[in-house]
Amino acid sequence: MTDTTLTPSIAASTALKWLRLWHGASIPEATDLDVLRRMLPETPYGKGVREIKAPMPLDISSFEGSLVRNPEDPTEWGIFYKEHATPERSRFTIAHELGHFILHRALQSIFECDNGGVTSGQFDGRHIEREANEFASNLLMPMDLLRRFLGDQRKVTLHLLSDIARTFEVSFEALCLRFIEATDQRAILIHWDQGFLKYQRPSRNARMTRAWVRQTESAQEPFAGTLAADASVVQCFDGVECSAAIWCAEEDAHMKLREFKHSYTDRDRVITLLLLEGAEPRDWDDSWKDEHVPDASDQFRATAQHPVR
Amino acid sequence: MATTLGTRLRRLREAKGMTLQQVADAVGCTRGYIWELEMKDGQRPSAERVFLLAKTFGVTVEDLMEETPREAHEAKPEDVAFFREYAGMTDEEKERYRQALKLMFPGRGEGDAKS
Repeated sequence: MTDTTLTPSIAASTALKWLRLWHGASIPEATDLDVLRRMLPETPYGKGVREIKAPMPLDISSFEGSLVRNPEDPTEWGIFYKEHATPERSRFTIAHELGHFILHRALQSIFECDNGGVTSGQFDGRHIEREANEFASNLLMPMDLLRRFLGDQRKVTLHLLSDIARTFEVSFEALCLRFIEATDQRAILIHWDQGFLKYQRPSRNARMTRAWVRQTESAQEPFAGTLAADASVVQCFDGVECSAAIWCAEEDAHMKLREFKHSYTDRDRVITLLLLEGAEPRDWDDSWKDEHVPDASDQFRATAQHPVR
Repeated sequence: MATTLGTRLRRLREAKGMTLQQVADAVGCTRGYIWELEMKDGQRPSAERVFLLAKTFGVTVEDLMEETPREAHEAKPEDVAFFREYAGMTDEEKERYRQALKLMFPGRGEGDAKS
């Protein structure tokens, strides 16, 4: 069994600590996965492992990546990643597989001894996939660095976010999702696929204030009057201001938001970022009035247990 | 990942180079409906729609509706630690995977290492 206290974020921050020690002052802003891969067998996270082989590309449809063990030598491991993926995507996949290596390789015995075990119980596939993604996200986009790059979050634009994505060598979408986790603003990220809403991801403060893009159709299209609905606008990295109520049913009429838009070259995929004007949390206690500026770790933590008023 | 109906539909549509609208027109529904079939799990299209979809893509209804086994029965557990995508592979892809494993771990005693 694995150490159940080892969470993806602890594993990632420990790995980053080792990397910072290894690199010293010359540490690159983009996490060096090759150094980590070679270092891991020497660390407590690589017990019993002699080597993780250099990642190799593999061309198989719908394949993203895999962590494999040498069937003849349990001390040798390797990583495959999708051939023809962008370098950013490959980096994320390799980080994801390193996450499996650290967090889940001990579960392999379960896979071997239980035919149905892969999809059952606590260690079901989705659970470990989520953990590996969380590890990769924390490893490639360290929160402390990201906060420093973001600076004054009220001045965030897609120019800044895409610059940061380039610095971390991650995809624009991965960086936007991480921004949603990092920001103390009310923000909602939306991914459109072929013109339909694939997912929306509200920030913590957006959730607290019940800011949520309304969905009236099961295949939701952008609302009239938004940048997202305007086919003539391909990119809008500076954002435009509009009424928040166009997007979010629960927003008061006077509330504003700033809408940003990024279309991928095929135009089938579009990312919308909404930065909403600040609002008081609803149905929560008064701790939001504190002068203390919360960070993500303690933000509203105190309120979570309070009864709804 | 074992393929779902949605994944198969999207792959077939992209392989044919068709838009959602073109498929919707062929099947007689909205492009939103086709998108939902592709993107959302647990959709249950009518038999007539399934027939029309299969006809549009030039495959059989059986091909379209085939449920891939949830477990990776054919995977050799000794080969693959995290074989979450393995079940969805074609035989040719499984062979490519085995060859890649030989390249990754050349020490394996499986005869001709050059193949």
